[in-house]
Amino acid sequence: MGSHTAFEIAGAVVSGAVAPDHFLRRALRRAAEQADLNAFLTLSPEEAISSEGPLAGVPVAVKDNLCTLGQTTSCASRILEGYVSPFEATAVTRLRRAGGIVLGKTNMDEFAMGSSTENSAYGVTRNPHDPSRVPGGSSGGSAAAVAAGIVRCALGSDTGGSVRQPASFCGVVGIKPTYGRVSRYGLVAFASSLDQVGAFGATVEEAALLLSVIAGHDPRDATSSRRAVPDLLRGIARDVEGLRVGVPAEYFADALDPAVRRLCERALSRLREAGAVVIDVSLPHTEHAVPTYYILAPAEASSNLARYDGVRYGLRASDAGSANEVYELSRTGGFGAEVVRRIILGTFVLSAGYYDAYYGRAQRARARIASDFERVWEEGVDVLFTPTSPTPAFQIGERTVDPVSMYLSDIYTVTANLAGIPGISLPIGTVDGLPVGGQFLARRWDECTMLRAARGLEVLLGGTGCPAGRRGLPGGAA
Amino acid sequence: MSETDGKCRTGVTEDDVRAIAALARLRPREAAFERLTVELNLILEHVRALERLDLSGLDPQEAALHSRPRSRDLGTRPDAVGPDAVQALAPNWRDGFIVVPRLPALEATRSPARDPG
Amino acid sequence: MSRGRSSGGAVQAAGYEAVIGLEVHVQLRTAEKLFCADSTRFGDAPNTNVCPVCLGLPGALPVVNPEAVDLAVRAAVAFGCTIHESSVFARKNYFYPDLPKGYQISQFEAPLATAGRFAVETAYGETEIRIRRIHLEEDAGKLIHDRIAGSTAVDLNRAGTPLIELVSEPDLRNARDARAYLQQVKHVLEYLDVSDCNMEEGSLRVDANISIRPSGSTGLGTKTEVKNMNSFSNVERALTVEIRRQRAAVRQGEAVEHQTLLWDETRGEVRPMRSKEESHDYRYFPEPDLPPLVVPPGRIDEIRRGLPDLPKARRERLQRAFGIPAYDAGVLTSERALADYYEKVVGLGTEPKEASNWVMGPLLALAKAVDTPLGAFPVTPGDLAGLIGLVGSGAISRRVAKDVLPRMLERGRSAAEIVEEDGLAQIRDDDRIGVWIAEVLARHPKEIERFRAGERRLQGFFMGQVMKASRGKADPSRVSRLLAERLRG
Repeated sequence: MGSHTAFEIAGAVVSGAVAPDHFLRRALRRAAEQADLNAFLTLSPEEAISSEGPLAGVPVAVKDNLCTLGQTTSCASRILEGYVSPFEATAVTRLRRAGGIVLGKTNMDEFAMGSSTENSAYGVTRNPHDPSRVPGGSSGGSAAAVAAGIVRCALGSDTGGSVRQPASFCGVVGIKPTYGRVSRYGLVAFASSLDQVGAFGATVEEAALLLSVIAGHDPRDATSSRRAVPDLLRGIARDVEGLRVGVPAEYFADALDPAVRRLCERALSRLREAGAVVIDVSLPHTEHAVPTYYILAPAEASSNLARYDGVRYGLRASDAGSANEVYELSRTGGFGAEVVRRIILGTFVLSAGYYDAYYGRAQRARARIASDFERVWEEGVDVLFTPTSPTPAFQIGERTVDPVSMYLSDIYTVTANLAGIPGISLPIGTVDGLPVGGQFLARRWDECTMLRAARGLEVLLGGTGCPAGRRGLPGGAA
Repeated sequence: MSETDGKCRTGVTEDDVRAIAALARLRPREAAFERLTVELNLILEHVRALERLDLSGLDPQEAALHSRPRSRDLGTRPDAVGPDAVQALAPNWRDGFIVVPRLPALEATRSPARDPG
Repeated sequence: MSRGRSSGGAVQAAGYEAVIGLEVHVQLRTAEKLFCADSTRFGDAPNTNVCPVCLGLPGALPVVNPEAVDLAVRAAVAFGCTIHESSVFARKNYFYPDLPKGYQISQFEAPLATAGRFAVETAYGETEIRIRRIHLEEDAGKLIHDRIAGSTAVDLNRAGTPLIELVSEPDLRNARDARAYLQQVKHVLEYLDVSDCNMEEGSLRVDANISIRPSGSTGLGTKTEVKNMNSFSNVERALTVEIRRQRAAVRQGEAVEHQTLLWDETRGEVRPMRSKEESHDYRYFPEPDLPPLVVPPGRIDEIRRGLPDLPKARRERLQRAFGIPAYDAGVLTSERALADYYEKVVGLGTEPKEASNWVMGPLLALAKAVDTPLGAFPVTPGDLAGLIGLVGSGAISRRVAKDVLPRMLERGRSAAEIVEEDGLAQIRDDDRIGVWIAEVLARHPKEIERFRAGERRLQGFFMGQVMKASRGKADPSRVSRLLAERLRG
């Protein structure tokens, strides 16, 4: 399907020019050819394929933490090995109603805890651009599936950067919508106040197309917004002239790889040349974002993952002699090292005597981080531009020894989750053949402006909506 | 665990990690505790950067609400799943019940405010 | 803390008074669970009223049932609480096989309602008990230990059923008052239709916090928590036992240990619950899956206006409005459905005392005999008013009327229809009554002589004979008048 965008696929299927399963079969073939990437945990196409809707006949890869009927939903964990959900995530239902096909479930860091997909119980996913490197995470399988040209669109989830960072590492587009824009019903929770279902695309428009299909209020998720969803594809083609682009100094500090910095500066020059107004701004609480995130997310996770106890579903230790052993042995046998680490951290920060010092403090820091953004918007900034990650994709195994170094790869992405604002990562060039992503952040609910900026930059950098792939990189103007 | 004075200076000991693991119903291998303790201290050292943040004049409850919608959302609710689905998922099922190894009966009082067993 | 009258002879005489606070968990009478649409019905086959939410399946999310919120607000209004426009759900984390998610969704730092008060009538008069808080939470499932050998069976039908927890300040001073408080709390909640308060089905559960202190002091001693008391009389017994135990300990110079105790009904003693080192750390934090619960002031006002009279107010009103005796008013307001029934009967024009006699007497007895709640009783207030009306107009006698009532229930017909079908109407035709009188007098010449000789009490004998001849249908007042005329003659 290399040369066909999701729009072209749907067009061909709706018009009857090709059989509805034409592109599905192609995608399955390409997935089989690239099985060595380990992007998919299961491949199980549906029987009936719709030939109507904006995604008619479009194969979509779905992260394995979104509940689907008919495939397992394991969250790449032993504890949910073979688990088949009796209900379907709202985002998946909407995807299917729009004609999309669930091609398969993609690999991820176990329960979305990680930034490299190395924490999967089912083996690491390889970066299509360099198989010795990680694809990023936690939605590494979805990002790799798009980058490898298997699919044009994929679903992921973003709790601290889990869509944007792998998009950056794999040279594709990844959107984290405003918190509340997409229903979390059927998204297996990691950290409920930060989780949001996100969309990958080979191009900005394709990612926006997928988001437009899954967005909107869902009465089954009390945190999903009743706010009407604007037409996300309409204003996207407007150029960037007059757009006020803020550049937060804190995101260009010492931790940033100089080559990544140069690509960001090049992107900003292009925006300036095209008539955008580039403004230096400050988000002074940025340095507190990673500590805040690594208190709040594990705290919520320690509670969200308490349900995996071996009683009602999932793995139950066969040698448990008491109810307490059912818990301890099932959980210890079912969870990987990073999940155990975060449950212990999260349990600790909520425990008696420590709650105020850690959780309470982090809640307040979160409010400070959010108000940093509010102030910048009040100053008239339309969008912020930052790097997505301090470095390009790192080597498999490079950071597994030091959890903190791994956590710091989320430094530019966690702020959007803490503030509930939307973010997008798009390719802005390569360093030594490895893709690098740039990130736009926008006001809550203003995905339109964010998409307009991203699409504008994509065009300025020579992105044409060409396929991603192991051979050719999107936006390969570098 | 030593009490904190509203700040988080004290290090975490291996015994602390043991107690936390038990609270989380985890039973890592004995050898893993040393590593977990080092890692936990490393992470806590990092997150302690928050101590430098001046948070005066902010109510934590308000902060908790800050980024969340406040609307009263009272919509429809999910479909019921039948006992067949429960049975299909349950690791141990008998006579319509999910079964676990026997608990001491007296501890299973009817009050929801009971202690963890 | 010095509120509440101190009484309770024995304890006070020993120089120590008890300080008791009660936590009452009450199941709300909603059709659906608190965070999902499953039925709350009691007694269904196990694990049938379950869905992804109350099973705690991966990816499921809670959504608040507005009916439960309304009932909780109703209770909060009735107990005089301050109701907070915005309250916050919190997770209470602990592991137990009946708790599907590994946490209970409850309220902690910001409950729905706080600072209420409740006037309790005790043997020594009225005492005001302060209510600390009322909050919403979900119930756990049920564990059955004696069904499968060596195993515990888990039934999750009850998981997610809405509860309110109503917490009193430690204002109670003895076990008897604690029992009175509970009975009156239960009465109010039933009255408001907030809960059916059925203790056998577990829809009302009580935990107690108890400490003792030197009489007259205002400090608080170390408290213990007593659980597993499944009836009001058990609450009174358990508290009495625990107060005695603490007093004995203090007298012997021992410290009361802070602990959780379980009441053992069979042995009549409290015993410590096996505790683990890590117990009591629930790690509460705000529930991120639910936005703050917002109850607009307008809704609170609406609920306040729709609130029925509470039992005490209603009793006073019935006495005042209808002039019935205090005893009658007390019986009629013992259940809301009974009072409602009574007021409907009176509302249809029935004389209030007559209505009270009928409702408290034959009607209540009949409803109890067939074990049917008055709210759903097939003989409606209109039906009863019709029956009483027939007596009032003289169409049937009171005695016949008492036989008609069960037939109305049996056949589902009105009083008039039964009287018609069974030919029970009184005969008030003087000519027909005259014939029966003539027959009776003709058969009893001797008695007439004795009567005329002054044996006046024989009038009763003639009366009985005439009624017998009419097979009970003659209007007794007419019989009496006509008989007197004839005998004089």
